[in-house]
Amino acid sequence: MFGYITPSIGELKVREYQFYKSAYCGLCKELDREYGFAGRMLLNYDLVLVALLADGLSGTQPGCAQERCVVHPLARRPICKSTSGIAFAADALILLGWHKLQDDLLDEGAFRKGLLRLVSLFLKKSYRKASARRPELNEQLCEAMQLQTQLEKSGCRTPDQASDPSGRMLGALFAQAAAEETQQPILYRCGMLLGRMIYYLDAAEDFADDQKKNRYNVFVQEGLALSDAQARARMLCNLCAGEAIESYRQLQPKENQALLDNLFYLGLAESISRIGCPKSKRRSKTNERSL
Amino acid sequence: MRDPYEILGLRPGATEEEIRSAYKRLAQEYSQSHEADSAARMEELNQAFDFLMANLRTGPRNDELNYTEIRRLINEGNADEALRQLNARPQPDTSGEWNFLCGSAYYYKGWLDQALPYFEKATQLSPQNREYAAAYHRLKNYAAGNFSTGPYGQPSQNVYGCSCCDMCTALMCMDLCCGFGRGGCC
Repeated sequence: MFGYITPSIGELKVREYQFYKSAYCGLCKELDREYGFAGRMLLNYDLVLVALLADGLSGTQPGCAQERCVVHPLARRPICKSTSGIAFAADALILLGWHKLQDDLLDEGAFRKGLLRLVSLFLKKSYRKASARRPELNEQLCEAMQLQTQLEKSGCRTPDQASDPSGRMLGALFAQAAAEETQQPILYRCGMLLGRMIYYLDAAEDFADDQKKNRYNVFVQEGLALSDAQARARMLCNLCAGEAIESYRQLQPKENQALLDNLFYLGLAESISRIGCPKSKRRSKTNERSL
Repeated sequence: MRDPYEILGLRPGATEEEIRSAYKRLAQEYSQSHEADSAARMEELNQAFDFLMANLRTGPRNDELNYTEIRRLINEGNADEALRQLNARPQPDTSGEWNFLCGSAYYYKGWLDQALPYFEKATQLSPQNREYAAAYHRLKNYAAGNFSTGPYGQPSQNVYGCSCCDMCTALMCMDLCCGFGRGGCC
């Protein structure tokens, strides 16, 4: 479901790109420190945005240190030290990952189900820890997941309604990244719209698969063909992205401005343009390769 | 608040044009006067003007549905309640305002796909209303992928690119500067 919101790397300065990567590594290390190896497996790019946004709004500048890590044992890499934003993103990642896993458990085949059960066994301890730390957020996520199950059962045909739970989840998540109380409603709307956008991107990507396996997909419910579904998803994502950018414009991040600008003004449009691209081609298209 | 018409020195039922000109005249008067209460009177004048303009937009009040109340609900973030009241009418309303408010309620909920057709209908019904048109064009532009690009300038999809016509116009304008087309520089 996640990992859709990335910066437009070609437009970044080298130091910004390096900082983005070190924030990603910092989040990975934070997961390892707090939740162990199982937590690390959930790592994705969307939560780096949350970390950057939370630190940017509060004006925290994380220190970087050259460190080794398990994934790249040979070279030392610059890795961000823990900040409140990165810690928050790590907790949120565990919570989101867990709920996503529980959702998957409901609609997978027998073999995958067994596999997912095993993973969820590993994650249970991490989930307990994260939910004890952020009880309010966890509760909101639980509610949203329940709503999602309900909507899927009832075969919802309205994309706006179907994406409501995702919108609520990311809205609640973003609202907690606020440094001041006045930012909360702005962040909620921004997150809510990004959540919807991620939902549409995901639904468009899974369209053929869901159709074949007879699983719930809002675009299948609408009775669309593949190309129509992609065009529809593009239009819906555009609407959400345009509004999300307007919300972002109301925020004044004290740090990370260049990176966040890139993520919102260019990154969103780039994610949308990737609708309909096969997964394998995406990496080369975004220049997302190790240096 | 005193009667807004009285503040503006008008009789009830004044047209938009009259309200605007009265407002302009009084605002100029107050801003130039050095009396102690001119700031307070200016404030009162502004309120009266806003009230009357909002009234003009929402149409006559004898309507069974109170649009001002619904606008308030939407502004407070209570879009679901606003939608419930809007949809509670036995017959679907065909006024521009009704469509615009339905669209606005969906818009604040984040249901942008639902909001768009309502905004479109509202602009069709009252094409001269700028508020409706602004809301519709905003979403329509987003749907087509034209968003704000912030510090990155215009989008690369050539939406606002420089066309042949633009170049000709620019050349003609430059020519005008150089002696109104009579040739020769200056």
